Amino acid sequence: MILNNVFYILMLAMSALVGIVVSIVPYMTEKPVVFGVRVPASAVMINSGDFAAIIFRLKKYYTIATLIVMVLVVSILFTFASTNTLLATSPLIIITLDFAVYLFVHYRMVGIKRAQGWSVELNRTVSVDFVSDSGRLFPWIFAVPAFIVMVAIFAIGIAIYPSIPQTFPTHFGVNGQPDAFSTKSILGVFLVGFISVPVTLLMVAISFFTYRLPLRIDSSIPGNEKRASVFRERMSVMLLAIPAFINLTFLLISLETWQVLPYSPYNVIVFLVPIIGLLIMVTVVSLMTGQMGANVKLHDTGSAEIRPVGSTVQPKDDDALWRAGVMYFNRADPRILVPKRFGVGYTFNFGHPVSWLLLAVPIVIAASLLIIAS
Amino acid sequence: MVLITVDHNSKIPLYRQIREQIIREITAGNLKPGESLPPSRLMAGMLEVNFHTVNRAYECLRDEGLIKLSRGKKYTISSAVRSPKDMEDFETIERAVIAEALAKGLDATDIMQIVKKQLRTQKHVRS
Repeated sequence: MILNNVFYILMLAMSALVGIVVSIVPYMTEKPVVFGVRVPASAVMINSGDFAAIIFRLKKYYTIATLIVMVLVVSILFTFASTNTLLATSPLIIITLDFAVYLFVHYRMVGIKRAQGWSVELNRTVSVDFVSDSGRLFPWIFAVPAFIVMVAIFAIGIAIYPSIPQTFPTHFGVNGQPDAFSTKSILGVFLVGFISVPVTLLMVAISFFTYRLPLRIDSSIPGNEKRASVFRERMSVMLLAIPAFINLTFLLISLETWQVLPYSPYNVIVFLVPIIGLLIMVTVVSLMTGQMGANVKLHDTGSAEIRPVGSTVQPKDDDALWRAGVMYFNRADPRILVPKRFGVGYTFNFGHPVSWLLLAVPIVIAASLLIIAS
Repeated sequence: MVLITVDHNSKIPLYRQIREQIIREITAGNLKPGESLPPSRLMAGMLEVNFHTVNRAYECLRDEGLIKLSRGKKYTISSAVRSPKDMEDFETIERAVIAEALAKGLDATDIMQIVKKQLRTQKHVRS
């Protein structure tokens, strides 16, 4: 019963966090991309305009609607759900229903754009920010914490190896009682440690790869190139920090399996502390930075650098390349990852065959882990 | 950070736009000697131009000695040498430009004023 309460509180916190994050996404996107629809920057950036007022209202309605969804899902599930498994689906149900709200507003926005008759089609200026070889050095230093924690898992494991009991629980049921045991072996002792290695390397690789990614800049907004470089930097640092939090959880789980951390149903809370810290860190950085640095406050937007006159016009309309404003499909784009339209960070270019390959990799890894485990 | 902007509606040919943008980034010090230019296919894909267009811009820059083809088929930025030939080339261009300005009635003061203003406002780190 105690564990049930713990589980309740964790799922409640998780659902609330997910619900809130999804509901504030409209305030993190690029200013001229509203619910996945590109509109002229001048229409949204000038606060007094009619159109700016419409967008302000749409964003507000979306936020209120998604928050209501969260409250409804949580109250219904937590009152009527008969099993914990059903309860665990709560964040997923919230995300699905929030997406339905998004789709509704997205298509409203498509309609508004059509009704306004903006001829963004005529504009054909493309502005691209490339990273030069030495332009800025990759912030390797931020990868250090993740590696320290990863090494710590192995160092502690090796140091206390002789004192680890011959049999130890490897799995706990939903009721909190151990339901699977393993006899002591290298693989058994370091299983979680072995998982942390590819996870860490993958995150560092993604960070490194996205750091070099050329970005299309909407140069109709002054200072956007500087914002893009702040965005690039912060995203890479954030991606390097993520495995540090994950590895901390892995370390705590390992300590429990080694029975250094005495088993208790409350340990789940301890394991989730770094994960919740991670979610908060990601949310704060995303909100403060905004997609492509949209929320970055610059001290001087009127930089002294000379840019050609042509760069002050609208970028070209790329709505057709985004299915429902969220799924990018462009064969002509050489990039595998591109900045998201509704959210902060990067998403796959589904027009690139490598994207499909990369999406298959986690499935293959998960499947092979299941085979190894069985 | 290297910013390249092209206007597909402009009367200026795309390869010339790319060439001028790269020159500006070299002048501003955003592309330093020894650094490589983005691969032409990537540059072309990002700017939504044909990759032959980018290659033409790159070849132009190579002929002018601003970039060179290094090992691994990569174009890298050459170091500024300030050769007599560059002085000659500049004089040839200036002869035509000054002639045109004088024909249109601009005088020496106007021309000097513009040249000084350009040297003052263009961020330059080479030489």
